[in-house]
Parts: sequence; structure tokens; C-alpha cells
Amino acid sequence: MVVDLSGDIEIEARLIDLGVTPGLEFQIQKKLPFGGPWILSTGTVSIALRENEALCFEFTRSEDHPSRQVL
Amino acid sequence: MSLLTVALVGPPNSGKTTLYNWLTGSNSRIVNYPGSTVEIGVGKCAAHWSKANIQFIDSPGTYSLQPKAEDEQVTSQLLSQGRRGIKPQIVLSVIDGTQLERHLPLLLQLKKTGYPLLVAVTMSDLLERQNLKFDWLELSKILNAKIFLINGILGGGLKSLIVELESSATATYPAFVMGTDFNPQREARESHEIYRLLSHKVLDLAAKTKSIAAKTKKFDRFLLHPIYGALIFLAIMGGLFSSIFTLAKPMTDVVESGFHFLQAFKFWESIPFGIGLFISEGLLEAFKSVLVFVPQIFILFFGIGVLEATGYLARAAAWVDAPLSKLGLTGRSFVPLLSGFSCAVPGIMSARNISSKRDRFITIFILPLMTCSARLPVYALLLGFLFLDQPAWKAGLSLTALYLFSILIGGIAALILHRLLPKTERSVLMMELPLLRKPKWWFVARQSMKRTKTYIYKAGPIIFFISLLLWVGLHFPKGENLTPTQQVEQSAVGRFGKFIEPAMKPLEVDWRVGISFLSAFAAREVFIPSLALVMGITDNIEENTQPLWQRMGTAKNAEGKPLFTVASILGIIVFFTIALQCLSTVSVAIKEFGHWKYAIGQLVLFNVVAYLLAVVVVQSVKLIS
Repeated sequence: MVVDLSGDIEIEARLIDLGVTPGLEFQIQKKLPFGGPWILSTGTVSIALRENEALCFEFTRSEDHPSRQVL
Repeated sequence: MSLLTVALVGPPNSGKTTLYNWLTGSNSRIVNYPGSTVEIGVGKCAAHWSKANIQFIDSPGTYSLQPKAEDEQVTSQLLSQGRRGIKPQIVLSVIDGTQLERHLPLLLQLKKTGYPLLVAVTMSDLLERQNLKFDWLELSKILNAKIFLINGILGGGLKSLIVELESSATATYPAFVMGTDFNPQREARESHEIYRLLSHKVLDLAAKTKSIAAKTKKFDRFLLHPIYGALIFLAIMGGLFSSIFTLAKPMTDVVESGFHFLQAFKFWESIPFGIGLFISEGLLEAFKSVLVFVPQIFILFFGIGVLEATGYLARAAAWVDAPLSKLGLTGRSFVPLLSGFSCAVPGIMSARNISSKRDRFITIFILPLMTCSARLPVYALLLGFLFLDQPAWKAGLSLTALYLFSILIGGIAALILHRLLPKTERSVLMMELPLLRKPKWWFVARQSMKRTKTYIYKAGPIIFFISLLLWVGLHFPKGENLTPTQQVEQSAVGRFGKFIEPAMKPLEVDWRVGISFLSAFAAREVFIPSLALVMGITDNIEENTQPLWQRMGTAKNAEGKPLFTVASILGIIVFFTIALQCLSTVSVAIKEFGHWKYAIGQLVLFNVVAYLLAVVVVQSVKLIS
């Protein structure tokens, strides 16, 4: 789950446009080989992000916060 | 009745352009290139929908009215000040029903613009099939906008939408100026709240729609798998390019024999003043040499179209991001570069959706190096000559090698630029992978047909003009009692050819090839008809019925040695791989670079490097053999 967005303002704004906002639950579906992008999936959408882009937001594992209500 | 202008605005992949095509029917004058919509398209409402005076504007997909990439600016400019002299009166927002949560922020922003708003929800048939319900009425109240559910197969949704527009057509709307107080963070929060409010009442759409995505995910497990995925990628790309040659062969044969049939008419000889000869030897020959390659071009367009429609292109882009980023490019460069294999012009234009300026610059710069379809006829001719009477796979394999060679050269060029350019901006990928869908074959076929037609219409007049010019230039001024060869040598074109011959010497070819080189600057494929014309006259007329490559085999230079050797053919190929001979590319590059000096630099650099490299290749091959 996304907790907070941080880092580069431009990347942050783009993430929001792509629907990556605090509260969003997602899975890391794949990491492509040779340092390729991460594929995150949320609901119906899959997003390809580079590692440095993915690290622009803080996220927690949902099993770490079982009590937390998730959208 | 006054004209009502409706702008279709929506996120990428929301089905906007499909809806636009339905609404406008055949009346659209859409400028849509492979990849995505990058410029507005304007079309009148199709007559079978409504007789009212309504026109629709198709806009590039955007998630936000606060644009980041160049193509997103088009939409916000359209709404705030109008674009190309057109300003909409109503906004028809197109959103994907299965991705409502992510498309809501744009809806809210559109609401804030103050435009009268209508909402078309696409993919509603998908929702229905999954038995997903949503309180559209409530959303309609919140937005104060009518919502229309559009079925994937032409359904009632469209009709009621048209009826609504017809009633709007009588009203007039005040001119509107967009505010600048957009805050994406705040809007995202607001849309979250609205969404939660609604989903509280009804089924949780987001959770349910996951089932729709389940199939896509199952496929993605293979498509994005480190081993299978890579193999699938190579197989698809390999399949695409090999089908260009294998599938096109029978169609190409039909075109060729059709033209032979036309040219063989005795009727041509009866037309006086050499006009008949001009038609059969000049014009028909010129068109044949170009139209023969239309099947290949169609197959390439069709292949890219299918990949685009299935949603695979975005996955392919994700795959190549890592290697491309080492060259200063991004996965987003993939679609423009791939389009570059059909034509550099749409490729350069679709580079607009690369958000980083630096990535975009490098992409546009190296794009003309990709083997565009105009080079295809030239390669096919030259390879056909090199592998005359040999199995077809040899030529096919060499052609594949040429494609790889162009990618290699492009990579080297990108790397050099990557090293040279200051690293001012961070390169980004951040890309959505759309749901995998079955392509609508018929739609893709029609679209590729349209693109192929555009190609023919664009090339046609140039080919006509150049062959006319060449033909006249070869026959005048007329000498007395000369053999055909002597006549050509003292003609205007012949004299000019002799003048530039010194530059052709290092390439081991004579002035005839030089003339063809020059005419190729009108368009690369013109190389062939001009070569055919010049060779056809200077050689024995009776041999004229032979295919061009057989005529090339018998051609001799001034010393009586064969004109086309392995060395000279390789030289011509290398020249064509790198040279930038396409003036339409230059004019688009000037626009997209934003400054003429880059485009002119590109033009000069590519041609100088092409010439020098060709000379090196010719001379070293000659030395070895």
C-alpha cells in the first residue's frame, strides 16, 4: 500500500496522474530483468515504473498492517 | 443552424479515438499516426447519426489538464485558448468504466473548467458482462453532467448521446477562459473521496473490476516473464519483420504482372510525339517500381496496428526500457522508433509523448536511421540483384541483417549523443500497461489501408513529377543521328550527371547512378524509377522488357567493365542506410526539434557520414576481392 509520495516533484505529479496516490493498494507483479522496470498492478491497471521512480513513494506491505483498512 | 463544436477529452486508452471514429464515420479528416493521437483531429458528425451541424474534436489522451508531456499540452491548450483556430463549446469526457477511479480526477478538472460537460463511459459492456453495478446516477448528480454508457458494440448509448447533443445544438455558450488554480494533489484527494462516497453505496468497483484484469495478468505472467517474455518479444518482432517479405511475395507478384500486362499494349506506340513511349516506359515503369512495395508497407502497418490494438506495444516498450536507457533513450522511445520502420514522419511526431526533453531529442535525432519503408524497395532491388538466381531466404536473411545494422547504427548514434549532451533532465518511463484485448481485425485492417493510401498519395505526385522531369531531361536537347546512349550523354540530365561524376568515382559507380542518387532526395524510393529510366534508355531498347536487376547485370561502365559489382552495390546500400534523403522528414524535424538548426545539422551530418562510410566500404571490399 502506498503511504506517502516523496522525492522529485515532477515524478510525484506524474505518479498521481497515473493513479498512484496515498491509500492505494498494489502488488509488485514483476521486475523485468537487467535492471528493467518494475510492473506494479492495482485493480485493473498495470504500471511500468523504473526502480528510481518506484522509490519515489513510500509503501508498506499489507501483511505488516493487517488492521489497516485498505481501499 | 449554427455549428456546435464538441471536444472529446479523456485519458489515454479510454477508447476516445474509437468513439470519435464512430461518431464521425467516414467524414473525419483525422491525422492519426501509429502509436497514439498526438494532434487534434476534426470531423463532422456522420450523417447517419444526425443531420445537425455538429463537429467533433479528437484530442490526445491526457490524465490531467496540467500537462507534462508535449502531447498533453495540446489538450489543455485546446480547452483554454483553442487550437488551430478551433475552440470547443461542449466537452464530452470519455472515460473507461473499468478504470473509473483513475479517470475521476480528470473528470473533476474538466468540471472545474466550467465547460458544459457530458460524460461517455466506455467499456460499459465489459462491466455488464462481469455483472458490475455502479451508481452512475449519483455520480451524474455530483458532476452535474449527463452520463452515457457506451457499449463496445454500437449500442443505444451512442444514440441517446446524439439526441442530447442535438438538443444542445440550439443553445449558445459563452466564451470561456480556463483558470490556472489546479492542484493535482488536492484533486486526487477529492476524487478519492467522491469515489469512496459512491462505492460505499454500491459494489466496490475497484475490487470487482480486478476480475476483468485477471485474464490480462495471467497473460502478463508469460509476456513479462524473464525468459518466456524475452522469447515472445523476439518471436513477435522477428515474425513481424519476416512476414513483411514472405506474406507480401504473392501480392507483389500480382502487382508486377499487372503492370507488365499494361506496358505490353501495342496501343502506346501509336500515340505520337513520344508521349505513348513516355507513358509506358517512363510513367508506368515509375509507378510499378513503387507500387510493387505497397503490399510490404501494408503488412508492416497492419502488424504495428495489431500490436497496438492488443496492448502488447506497451509491454514491448517496458521490455526494451532497460537496454534503451543505457543509450540515453527510454521505453517510451520504442513506439516512435518502431513507427520509424514504416515512416520517419509519424515516428517523429509520436515522439511527442516522451516527457523528458532530452530523451525526446535523442529519439528524434536517431529516428531517420531506422529502415523506413521507402528504403525497402531500394534494398529489395539491390539484394535481388546481389542474390540473383539464388534461394529467396538468402536475400531475406540479408534484409534482416540490414534492419539489425540500422538498429546498431542508431544505437551508436544515440550513445554518442548521450555522452555529448549535458544531463539536464531525468529520464522517465512511468507508463501504463493497458488491458490486453483481442484486436478488432477489421478496424485494424481498415486503419492500415488508410495509412497505406496516405503513403501512396504522398509518394505518387513526387514520383510523377520526377519521372516527367527526368524523361524530358534525358530526351532534350535532341541530337541528330545519335544512338540512344549518345543521345542520353548529350542530354541535359546526362551533362549534369557527368558534372557530378567525380563525386561518384570513389563509390565505383558512374553518372547514371549519380543521377538516381540525386533524385532519391525527393523521396528514397524514386531511386528505382530513375535508375530504371536512365538504364532503360542507355541500354538496348529490346532488353527493356527485362526486370531491372537483369538490366543492371549487363550494365557496363565507360571502361566496359560491369557497373554493378558487389563492392558498388554494398556501397549504395550503406549510403542508403544512413543518408537522410527525405525532405518531409526534415520539415517535420524542424517543427518537432523546435529549431531549424538541429534538423539541418541532422541532414548534413547524416549525409556526409553516409557518403564517407560508403566510400570506405566500397574501397575496402574492392581491396579484398
